[in-house]
Amino acid sequence: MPRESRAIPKMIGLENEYGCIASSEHRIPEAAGVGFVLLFQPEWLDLGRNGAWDPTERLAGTEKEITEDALLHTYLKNKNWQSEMNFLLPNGARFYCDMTHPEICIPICRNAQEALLQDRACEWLMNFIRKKHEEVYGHKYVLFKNNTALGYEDEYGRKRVGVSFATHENYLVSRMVDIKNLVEKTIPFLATRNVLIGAGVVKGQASGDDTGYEISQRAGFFGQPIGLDTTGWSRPIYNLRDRPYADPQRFRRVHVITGDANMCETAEFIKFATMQVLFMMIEDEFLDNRFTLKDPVEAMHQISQDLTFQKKIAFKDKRASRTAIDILKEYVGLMGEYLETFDIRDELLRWGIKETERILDLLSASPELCFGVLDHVTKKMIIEGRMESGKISSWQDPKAKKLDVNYHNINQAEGLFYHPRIYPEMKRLLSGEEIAKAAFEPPPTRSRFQVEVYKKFGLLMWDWRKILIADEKGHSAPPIFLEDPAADWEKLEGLLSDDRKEFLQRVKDAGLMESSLDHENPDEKFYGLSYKKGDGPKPRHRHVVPEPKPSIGPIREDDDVFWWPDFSYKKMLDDLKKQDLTNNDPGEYNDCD
Amino acid sequence: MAEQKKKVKKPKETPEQKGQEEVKPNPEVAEKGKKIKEDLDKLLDEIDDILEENAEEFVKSYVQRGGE
Repeated sequence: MPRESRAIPKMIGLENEYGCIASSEHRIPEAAGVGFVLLFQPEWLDLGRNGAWDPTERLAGTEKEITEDALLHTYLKNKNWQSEMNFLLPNGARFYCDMTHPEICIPICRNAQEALLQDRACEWLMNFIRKKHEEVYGHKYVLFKNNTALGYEDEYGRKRVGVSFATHENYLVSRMVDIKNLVEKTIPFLATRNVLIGAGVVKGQASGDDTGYEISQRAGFFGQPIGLDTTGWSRPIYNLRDRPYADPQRFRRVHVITGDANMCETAEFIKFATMQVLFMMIEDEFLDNRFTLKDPVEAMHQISQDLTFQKKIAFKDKRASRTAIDILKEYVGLMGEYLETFDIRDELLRWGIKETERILDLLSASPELCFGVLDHVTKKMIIEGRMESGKISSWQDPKAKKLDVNYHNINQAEGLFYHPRIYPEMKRLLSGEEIAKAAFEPPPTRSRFQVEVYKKFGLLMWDWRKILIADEKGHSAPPIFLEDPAADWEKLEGLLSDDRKEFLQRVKDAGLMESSLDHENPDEKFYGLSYKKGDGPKPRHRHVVPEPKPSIGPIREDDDVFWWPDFSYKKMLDDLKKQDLTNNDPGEYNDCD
Repeated sequence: MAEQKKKVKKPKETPEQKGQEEVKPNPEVAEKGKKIKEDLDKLLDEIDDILEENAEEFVKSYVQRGGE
């Protein structure tokens, strides 16, 4: 008799910060991404004027310490960033500039297939935008879907050796799960899974050692087991960021920051599927603490540096240490058992877990068999192949590093992964046609509702949890809250109407203009929601609905970005103008509808 | 509820019960692996040197600010 699952829909999100350089001369080379986003025009994708991204949403209904961390965020005050550097794209993705990187988040997806498809659709859109920049402005950009690059030299002459940037995953988990439990059960999986999802990195001339290659791009940038940071030299394996963009009493968005960006479709698919099942097991209390590691940070580093996959990892208890592959085999065995025990018929999950088992067997028997399936294997084999024919002298040769970086170049005419002789050898789960189609087709989730509303009625302000449009008089209507991330598009579709007034009335009648967060005292400062497993939810928080700004107005000269003392948007636009821009007057750019 | 194939998965024996787990190379699998490598080497030989062109300049130019 199967047990009944209490797992909630495992909705998935993915954020990719792309590396971006300009191949034409650029005043601030390491910040090419800023121009890439700033000069994007929604009309390139047949969209109307974009609305502002609401940065105060990150403060909604969170624990007090987390609220204080969020209050320090520069984007809270930078209205230009909110309006000029954030876009809702036709597939429901968010395209924006994060710390000079062009970043794109997939729309909220229901399963691994959808998430993979939308990640590739986002890549497609980034390429489209890249081509438009060249066509419209003559600006040539190069984009890499990877996680490391050389560090820049700052205005004080301080040089960073290497930097890292995100590929963050997001999974919807029930708020009923105790956070300590969640942390303990997730950390070991994140520390060990890099043998499957690592994208590989050539350490280059900095390495000094013989092998000069590591399995994971990101592993070296992690230095703590748990914490709030997403930046810096010592990122935490478990990130405590708690911005659910949903009813915070029911939902938690687990923010996973350890992953590498994947080019191989299979690696990415199993990345999503295994994480989904991991969290389902935790929700259904199917997983014990047998995997708790003695030192997860050390384990993560060791695993990334061990190209033989033989290094044995120590557990916290007195059990014998085991290899990462072995640990993952046990995890995945439990995942299969879980799916059986709870009679989970989801074909994608079942296939994903079986495929992961198969890949682990291949990896332990003969890693070459994972060519085209796992990124770190594929990349390494290509570089080693070129070494063997004498084209590359060693791992320290810049040619090896070039292949590493260019593996992630999303321009299919230039990139190594997409090379016409190599790409056909990669294991495909998707077709080019469905990827191109998905760029204009949001999944049937709340993301599709947001895009449909944007297309019909324009957009004043939005974030993942809500959308603001103008009412029939041209004033801002109350926000429309989409607090259930697992909301079915079909239910939301019924609310749409071609008539603005009717639409707003339907939305109001459906209760979507009420937020689960209390509006009674808008002047009160934010304070935390305290929630322990076993207690009923205790809403003690307040949320201030921000004043929507329907008109952005011209860029002001004093709109500086905080981390860059002498930077101003106007100056940047002036510079870009000198570089052969056509028809790009700041006044026009800020024209209101 | 439909009858389903009974796939009883017993919890795996931990290595300390079974003795250390050693991965013994399977000759068939090793053959397959070798073949993939040989095919790849052939393929890579056919791709000209443009892959590694201007490597030093390329690598030097990939400077970024730190992200998340």
